[in-house]
Amino acid sequence: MEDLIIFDNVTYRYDSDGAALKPAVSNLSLKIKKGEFVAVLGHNGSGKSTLAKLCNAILIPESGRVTVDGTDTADEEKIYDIRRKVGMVFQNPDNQIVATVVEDDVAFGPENLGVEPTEIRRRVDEALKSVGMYEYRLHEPHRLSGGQKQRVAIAGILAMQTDCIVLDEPTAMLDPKGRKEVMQAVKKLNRELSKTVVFITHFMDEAVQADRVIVMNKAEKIMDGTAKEVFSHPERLKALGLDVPAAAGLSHELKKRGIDMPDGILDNESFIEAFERINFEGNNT
Amino acid sequence: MKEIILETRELTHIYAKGTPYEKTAVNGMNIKIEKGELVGIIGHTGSGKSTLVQHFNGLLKPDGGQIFLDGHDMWENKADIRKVRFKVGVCFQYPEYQLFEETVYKDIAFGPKNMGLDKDEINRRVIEAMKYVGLDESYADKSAFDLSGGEKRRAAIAGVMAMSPEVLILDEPCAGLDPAGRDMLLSLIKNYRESTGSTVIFVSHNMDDIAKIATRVLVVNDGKEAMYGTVDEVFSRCDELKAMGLDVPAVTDLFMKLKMIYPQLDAGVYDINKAADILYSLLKGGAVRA
Amino acid sequence: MLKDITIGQYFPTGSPVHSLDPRAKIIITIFYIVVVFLCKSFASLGLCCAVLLIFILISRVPVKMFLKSIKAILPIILFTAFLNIFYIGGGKVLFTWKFISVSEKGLYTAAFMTVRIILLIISGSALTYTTTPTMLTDGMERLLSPLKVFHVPVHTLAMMMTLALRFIPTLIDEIERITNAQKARGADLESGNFVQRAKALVPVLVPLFISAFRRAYELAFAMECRCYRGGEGRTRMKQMKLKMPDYLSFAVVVLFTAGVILLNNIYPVL
Repeated sequence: MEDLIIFDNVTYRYDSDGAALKPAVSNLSLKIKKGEFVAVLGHNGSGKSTLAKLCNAILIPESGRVTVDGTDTADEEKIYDIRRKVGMVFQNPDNQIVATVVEDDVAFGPENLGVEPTEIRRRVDEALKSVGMYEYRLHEPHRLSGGQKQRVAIAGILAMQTDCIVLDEPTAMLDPKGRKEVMQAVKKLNRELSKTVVFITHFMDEAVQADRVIVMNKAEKIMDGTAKEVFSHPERLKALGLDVPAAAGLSHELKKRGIDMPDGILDNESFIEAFERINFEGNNT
Repeated sequence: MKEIILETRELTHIYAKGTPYEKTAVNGMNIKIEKGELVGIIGHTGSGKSTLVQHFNGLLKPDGGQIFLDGHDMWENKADIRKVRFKVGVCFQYPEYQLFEETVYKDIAFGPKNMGLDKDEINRRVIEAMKYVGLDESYADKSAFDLSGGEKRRAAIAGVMAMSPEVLILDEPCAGLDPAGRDMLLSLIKNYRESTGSTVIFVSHNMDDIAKIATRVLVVNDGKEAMYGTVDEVFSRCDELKAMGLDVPAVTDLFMKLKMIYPQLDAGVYDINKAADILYSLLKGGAVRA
Repeated sequence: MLKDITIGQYFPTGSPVHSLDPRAKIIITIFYIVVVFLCKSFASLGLCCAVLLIFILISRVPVKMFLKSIKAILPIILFTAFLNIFYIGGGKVLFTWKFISVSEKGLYTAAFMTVRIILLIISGSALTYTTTPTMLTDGMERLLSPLKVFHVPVHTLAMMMTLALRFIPTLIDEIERITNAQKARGADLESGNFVQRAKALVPVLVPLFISAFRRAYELAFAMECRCYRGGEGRTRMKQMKLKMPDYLSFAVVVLFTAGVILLNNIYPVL
């Protein structure tokens, strides 16, 4: 499949009064394909949020190049073309909602793009329906729960019809219910609306649900593969200060005790299946 | 029987009474919290747990029922309510947003200063509190705004610890922290309780956090106490927890599913090493399926 | 709780008044206020009351709500009445005590002024009770858009207004949170003299400002990411179009103005 976002040897550092800081992202190369669901996992300060902000020209690389669908993000004249393709949802749900009515907020993006009023209406309704917030279209945002606010923010990007949505720790401030709601909405827009998704998080249970997991540490990409590949190394992830799914952790512990558990166990179902098989074989020998 | 430090009797709180937004957040709650325990409070958003916590230090006044601290009705003498706040220290969610002084030291000293302590005592307490949260003395003169997110959080928690409250309450202390930051904070809380012997109450959405450090668990549902007991007692009732829309620790969840096949298993397991041991002996013992 | 007080006090009932075009409502309200000032007699003022009452009844907003808004400025009303009673002379003197004298004209003027102020307040409240703050800002923006020719940044002003309305409840929440947090650390915000109280506010204000700036900064990013670049080339989802009820209301207002002028001439009491 075609590449949508390409990082080519990108380095970025935040400047602080001219003092030379350590780079937030260093020599990063990576390709994100159209329609892919990529989770970026890492602890605070690992560079994962910087990676997100480099995707749609909020930050411009200090060296190297980021291109979105062939357009260099450093090209100032093309900045709105890029943001039309790559939308962004931020961590704090309160600080990205602009209007006092839900549907007006969702309309904000397309209004800025100069879309026809009837078309905006259509897109707003459609976007709200796909995140399950249509019944709330006339509500005031500040009375919604965190998970609902984040879904409104996602609808706001959907209504702009971007190809890709970058979510920068969208669940960090939510309760478990809100986290599930957001995750469900994100999965839906990847699977059903075939949007490319870049999902920044430090929750491994969310990263597990992505097609591909990138692990960042100290400004560098240190792991990149399917969830199964990445979570087969629980010791390594723990050393990086990250969690592993309970099923993966438990099968690793059993392995250490000499039980021949297979690699790549992520969820309860595959754990139970493997456990059963071993038990069955054990009883027959 | 241990001494009771906090007790509520038929505690009730109603928000926005007499308006269309009226809501009964706490509805006739009866709990007794023993001295020296590390109590984890769980309940989903809107269950009333945050409202309950604000009664513990007299920020909210009950609309019905009573609340006792050390056997005394908190609201018997209204003028003394500020004293209650020195005895019960509450650290709210995202406490780093309450930092305001120029230096970490001054900010932590804010609480003790309000208590009217003398300079030496304040100094002693600030230094001690910084130790509890793992900030060495080099942080004292730093601006709070130059710290990392996790350090700010710990500085803010130190600000409450420095008041040496008999009861320390932390509302979602780990919200927004990454796993490493979370684990560090949890072990700091545990150490604080062990070295001071004070009662600690912490509110969390995360069952794994509670399983890791709590000695007792209070489950709040619909403005009422749904369960109160040891960690083992509460997590062995995971079916009921799930029915309330609460999560159970991830390992417990896996064990519940395994129990359907191997009924001899105990479902109240929440520690991964213990779980591995149990499964290991199950296999070695030639596990029998139901 | 503080946050339950809606700014602008919108009171939804779904009445025909609520669904009028906000521009029509703004113009009608301004017009109404001007006409109230044109009134010269109780007769014409009576007509004003009648018309307003009809609008209120159609709007189905409870009369209690209007009494509330009058109660808020009752001291001002009483003060004005008081001044008028004692300072305006003329006509028959009804009452004297030492240097104070109350004349018929004074009493009359006081009553007249009081009714006038109350009508102004009620008409203003009628506008905000039946129009959401968003609609009001939108209506204002569109009404004022001809001023763009004179380089008045109409869109920017309207956007600022919208954002203010959006963030007021959030900031009120925040004040409550920070106040609670500092109270929990023993801050005493309720006692002491003026200076002490002002000083005691520092622990609340500093975090509040820091947070407000952080929010503004993040919001600016979020808006840029959604391709916001000012009013240029922007379209709106909600088109405003004057409809039959709007024209009908205009007609009512014109008739009403004519009525007031007529009554002014028939009963020129003052």
